[in-house]
Amino acid sequence: MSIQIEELCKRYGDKVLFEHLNLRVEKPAVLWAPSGWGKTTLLRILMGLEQPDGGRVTGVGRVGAVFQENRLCRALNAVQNVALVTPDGKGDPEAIRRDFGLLGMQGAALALPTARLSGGQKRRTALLRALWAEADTLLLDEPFTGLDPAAMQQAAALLRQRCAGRSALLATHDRAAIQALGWPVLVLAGQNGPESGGK
Amino acid sequence: MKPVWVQRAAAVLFWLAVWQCAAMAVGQEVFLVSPVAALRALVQLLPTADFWGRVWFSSGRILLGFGLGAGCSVLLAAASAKIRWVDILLSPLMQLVKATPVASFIILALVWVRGRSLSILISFLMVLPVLYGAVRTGIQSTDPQLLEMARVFRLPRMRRLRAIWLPAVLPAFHQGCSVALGICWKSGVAAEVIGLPDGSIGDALYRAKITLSTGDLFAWTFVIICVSALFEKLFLWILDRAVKRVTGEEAAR
Repeated sequence: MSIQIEELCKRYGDKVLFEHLNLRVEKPAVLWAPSGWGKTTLLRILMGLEQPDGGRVTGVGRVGAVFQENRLCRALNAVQNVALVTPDGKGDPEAIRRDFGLLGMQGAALALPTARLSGGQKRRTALLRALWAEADTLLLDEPFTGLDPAAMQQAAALLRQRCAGRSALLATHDRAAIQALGWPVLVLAGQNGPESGGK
Repeated sequence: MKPVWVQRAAAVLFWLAVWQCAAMAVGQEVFLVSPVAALRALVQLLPTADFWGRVWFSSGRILLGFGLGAGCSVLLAAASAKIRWVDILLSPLMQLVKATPVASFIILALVWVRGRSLSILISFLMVLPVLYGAVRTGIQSTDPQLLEMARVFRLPRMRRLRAIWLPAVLPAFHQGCSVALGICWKSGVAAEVIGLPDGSIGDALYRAKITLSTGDLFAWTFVIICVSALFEKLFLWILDRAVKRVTGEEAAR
């Protein structure tokens, strides 16, 4: 499945975020753009949470997402939060725990309500939730926020492994993360689409 | 510093002593019975079948009214959160029910229903706006970002209810129930005192008043307080257990 963005326009009042944006994402890619360009808005349009003012988006299908905020169910623990988005709502707790281990998170932290986790632990939970969702497309908005370099490397490695074969769009400013992922970078500096295919 | 229960027991003992002193000062049990005399009246009541029959009669009806009120308030609050015109329609009605004195409802309701069912209707009416407001507040406090997350991940309805709606609504519902249970007991017994259904606690209170049995009056009042507190604790305990089971949360507080 590939994401096809055609002639997409979005403005808030007089402020034009992007106009006639054309983009095709067939494999995992990093979305890079200056602050305020509208990366989050673009991802929200792809998630179906916002309507564009013009143009269309196809090929997104079911979405697994990391939002700008963690958006975890505070009363549930990390494993339960991940299991929540699996097809049966229960997932495979053992396999989920193993995945948390790959992200450097294990032991008692996994049993705590997520309200009591640190920022980095919450972010890793949000990331793993996106990876465990039954999704055709992954849309990841700054998924490494709050992670230390080692945790970021672990998260990038897991993403590389799990995103192969499906379309994924990851918005980030973090150059180390871009390097760790090794994905093509779509640079969105103008208002009309990618200026170059690599960075 | 003494443990909390010791402090509380000391406070209770203090007020019992004040009550005893006041009763001794007044010197007439018709006007103010002493705690000892009230206790004596209670001890005489406890082993009688009439006592337990009255407790059963009133509890059943008042709690039925509470249950119906709780059920309706949840449904109506959910409907008004979902459908704007339901909210607009219900808002003045709930304000009216909340503001109307319970005595007006009781007298009006006596025209509509038999005295035996009066306490059901009155507790229902008293509980409805309280829990409606509580559930409405809970629904409004639901995190919109979590609802967006559920939409993006296409979570099924039941999972949204369990993971997002219930954890938001249940703390408010829990608090509302605590208030509503007290209100429904007070208003339910008041309805019985006016409607005088045979075999009710309200009827016993009224009889104690007209026979100037102040000891019985205090004993029945004490029973109402105890039964009300017992049901409140029991219900909230069950609710906590249910919350824990449904949401995986430790407590809905």
